[in-house]
Amino acid sequence: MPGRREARRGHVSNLLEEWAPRVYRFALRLAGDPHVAEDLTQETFLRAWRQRSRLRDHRAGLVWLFKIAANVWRDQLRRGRCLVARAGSGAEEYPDPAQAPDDLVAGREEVGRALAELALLPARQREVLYLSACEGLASSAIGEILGISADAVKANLWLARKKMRERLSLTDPA
Amino acid sequence: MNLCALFDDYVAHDLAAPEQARFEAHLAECPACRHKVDAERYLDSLLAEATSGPVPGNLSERVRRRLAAARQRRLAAGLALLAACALVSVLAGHWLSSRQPGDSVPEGQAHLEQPAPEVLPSPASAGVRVTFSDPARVLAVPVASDSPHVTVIQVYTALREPVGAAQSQDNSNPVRSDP
Repeated sequence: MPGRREARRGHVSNLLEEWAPRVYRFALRLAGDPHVAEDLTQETFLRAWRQRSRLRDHRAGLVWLFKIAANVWRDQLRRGRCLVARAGSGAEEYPDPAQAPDDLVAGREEVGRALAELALLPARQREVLYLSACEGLASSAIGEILGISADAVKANLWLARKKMRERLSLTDPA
Repeated sequence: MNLCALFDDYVAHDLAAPEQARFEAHLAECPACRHKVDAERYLDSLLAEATSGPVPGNLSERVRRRLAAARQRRLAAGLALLAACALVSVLAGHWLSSRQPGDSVPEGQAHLEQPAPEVLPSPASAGVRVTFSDPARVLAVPVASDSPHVTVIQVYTALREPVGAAQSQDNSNPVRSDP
């Protein structure tokens, strides 16, 4: 069935194009380093490929990938070592994570400050806020990804939003 | 129901579609909630822009190459396993075919090296002579034996009358005579 195989390869290729950048950005929030984030992304897709039979619903694929990325990152932290950047990956290939797209050029300092303040949040609050604000995920999905309860997600989200509003001098809605 | 209480769940994307629609309708009537939601949406837009920076060039291609390498490794490992199985099969077949037909072990029996039965040389003149004082009162019956070197003869005597040297008091006891 070469036709079906080709179609499946094309499907996987499309998913890779769509999901790899999002997994990378989440990995960047986890690791804070672009080299580590790329290796984490590659390791995530490698592990996902090995465990692909476990994915029943492809609509849940992104949450599944985020969960794998979080697990890979936790494994690395537990072993006390970080993934190292592969040889041949020149630093010039990596964008500066502190540089937001076009906004600094346009003079929107707030975007840069938001990114800096996000990086200063405790890890759990940063991860929860990113997945909620940037990926639009519900508390239950975030809890599944990070291995915590939905209530813990809500508590961390509330704290993260409060800190960010204060640090960015945004109007406090409370 | 106080719809203002749904604010946190709304911001956390935790409302079901009907509740979300009700809360959004409520926003038109509640300036306080609308103000709070606007502030959160502004924060979200800042974060979304801040974190949507460029990804490394050829990221997808590099991931694809690493997956392809992993597939190749798995394929190579599978082929190596297959080759090992084939080699074992060939060696086993060769070993079986090299065995003598008489070496075959009956099914259900453990294969143990059995020592060949030791055949004691029997002298050509070997023989046992048994005499009875009154042969007319004795009945000797040969019985089948497992060994070609052993002859079993059952001797029956007449009642009340003892018989010769090799006789038995119990007329059911066999007399064994080994050459």
